[in-house]
Amino acid sequence: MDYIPTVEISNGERMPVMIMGTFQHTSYKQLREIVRTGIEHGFNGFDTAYDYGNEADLGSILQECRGEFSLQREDLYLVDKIDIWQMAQNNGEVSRQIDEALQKLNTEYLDLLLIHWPLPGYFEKTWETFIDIYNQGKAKAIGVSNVRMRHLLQLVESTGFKPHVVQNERHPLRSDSEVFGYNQSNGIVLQAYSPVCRMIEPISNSGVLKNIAKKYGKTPGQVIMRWHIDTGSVPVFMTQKTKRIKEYAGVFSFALDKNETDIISSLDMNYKMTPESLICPGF
Amino acid sequence: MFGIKKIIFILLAPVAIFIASSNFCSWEMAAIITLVATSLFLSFFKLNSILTTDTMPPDMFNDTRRNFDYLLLGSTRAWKYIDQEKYNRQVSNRLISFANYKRNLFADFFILQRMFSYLHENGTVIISIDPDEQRRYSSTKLTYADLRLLHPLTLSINGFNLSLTKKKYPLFFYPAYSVGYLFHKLKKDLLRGGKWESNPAVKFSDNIITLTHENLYAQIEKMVHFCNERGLDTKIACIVRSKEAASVFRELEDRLQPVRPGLEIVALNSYQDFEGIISHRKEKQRLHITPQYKSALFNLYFYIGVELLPYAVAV
Repeated sequence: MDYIPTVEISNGERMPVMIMGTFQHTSYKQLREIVRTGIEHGFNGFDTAYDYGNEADLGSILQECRGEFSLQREDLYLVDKIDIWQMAQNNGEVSRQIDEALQKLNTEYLDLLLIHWPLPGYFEKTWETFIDIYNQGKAKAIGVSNVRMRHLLQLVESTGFKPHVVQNERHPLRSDSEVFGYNQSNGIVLQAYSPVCRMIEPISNSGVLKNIAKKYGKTPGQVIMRWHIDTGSVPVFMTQKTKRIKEYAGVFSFALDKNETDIISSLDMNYKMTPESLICPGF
Repeated sequence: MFGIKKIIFILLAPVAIFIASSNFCSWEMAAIITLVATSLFLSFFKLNSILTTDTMPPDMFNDTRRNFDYLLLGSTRAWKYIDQEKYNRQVSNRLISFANYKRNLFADFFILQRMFSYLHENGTVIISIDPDEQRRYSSTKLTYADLRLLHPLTLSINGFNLSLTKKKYPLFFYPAYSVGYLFHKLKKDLLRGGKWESNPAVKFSDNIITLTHENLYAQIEKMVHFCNERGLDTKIACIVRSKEAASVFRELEDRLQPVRPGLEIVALNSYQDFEGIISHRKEKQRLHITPQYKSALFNLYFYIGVELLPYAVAV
């Protein structure tokens, strides 16, 4: 089976250039259909989190798919996250929670383990646990999600250990240039969640995106995915429609030129779909 | 899916009430009972929905407004005369307000921690304080209205207790708060454009406050520090209506400005002064998206005849 291309991260591990998110997939039946369709179209990276409530479902579905599609564990790329409740309730000592996640996902290791939110007071302690988990081999890479520069600098200053991956909200309305620039100069890969910003009106009605899409005979969604890949970020997309998976699988037949990626980047207005502090108080 | 269930429930409930009541009375009486019960039922959910929309944090997926210029916190009786939503009618995404009369700074700090991301980079937090209402800001008690705005994790870490059901149905569990809120919302709409200095009861007085203001300075300092760390500007709007308030204002200036250079501390003694604080807008690219949620867009007048009156009768 042909999988989508991969990108190398700073410790030599490889990561698919597009990953399927599972946020808001609480129905086993729907998640199963989405995951199977994804695998059929070459997507082998799956992103979940404790608070999505579907780790066990995803583990069970992937177990089933491994048999059916003759997949080895190495063929899959699994991303999981530790959330703020786990961090707070265990004062950052989340080893047991990580073991539970491995059990739910039917795996001995995660390809990427992320701190979901930089909860003040618990962020650094959790990162220290993550470093131990990485050294034990239970996670092939570790990283942080939803961070600003101040969080990254805080981590690096206090532990001296740079994350391998940062997963932030990134799309044409929010290019996250400060963190993205820091990551690029420090060998950190940026994963972009909400990669199409839920196609809200300024995106879906953008003349810029429509014109570029028309030029290549693609959809605006495909153009945005291509923009992510061509600018060096890894989109983590979530969809409840199988047709969207087929659509995104078609982004590897074209590439944007520098001028086009710059024009799309110029749509940036630092618009956040997720107001961070609403989810992570004190952020 | 939830919508369909809700519609089926709304359609079947009157039928069930009619069938049940017709067992022990005539069909005419059963019809009247059904009509009254349905009206009360719908009024309850509609008013509860208004309360939920207005007094809970915005639903981030349905309300796509972001990047506000100003976040308004604090408490003053003056809010009764200031139409905060006016600023957004003039320019979209100008001001998001969680200020509320009777809110103390202890609650404001928790609210600041949860809501500051609604501001754009370098946005401004306005903290209004009213030294004449010192009982308000010096308290460390959280009310139901405060707790509704906090993150469940904040509630858990700090040992605050508020169940999801209680949060969801304020009209049922906190009728006094709910009716009070709706009443003041209505009253405020009626008084829109009023000037608070015109109220003789709150005009300049020689009110002497004997309690210390240390708590105020400490809390303000904590909030300003929090904002600074996150690259946000802060403005302290001090309502000055008495000699005591004037002295608090001066002390705030003396104590905070040396340690927080650039911090604006403004004395307000009229509604127009407040307008001045947010009139100098920072020019910044913004996103114009019409909010899809119902808060503030509902005109309560519309419901008076239809729903508030039956509810008032029921109470």
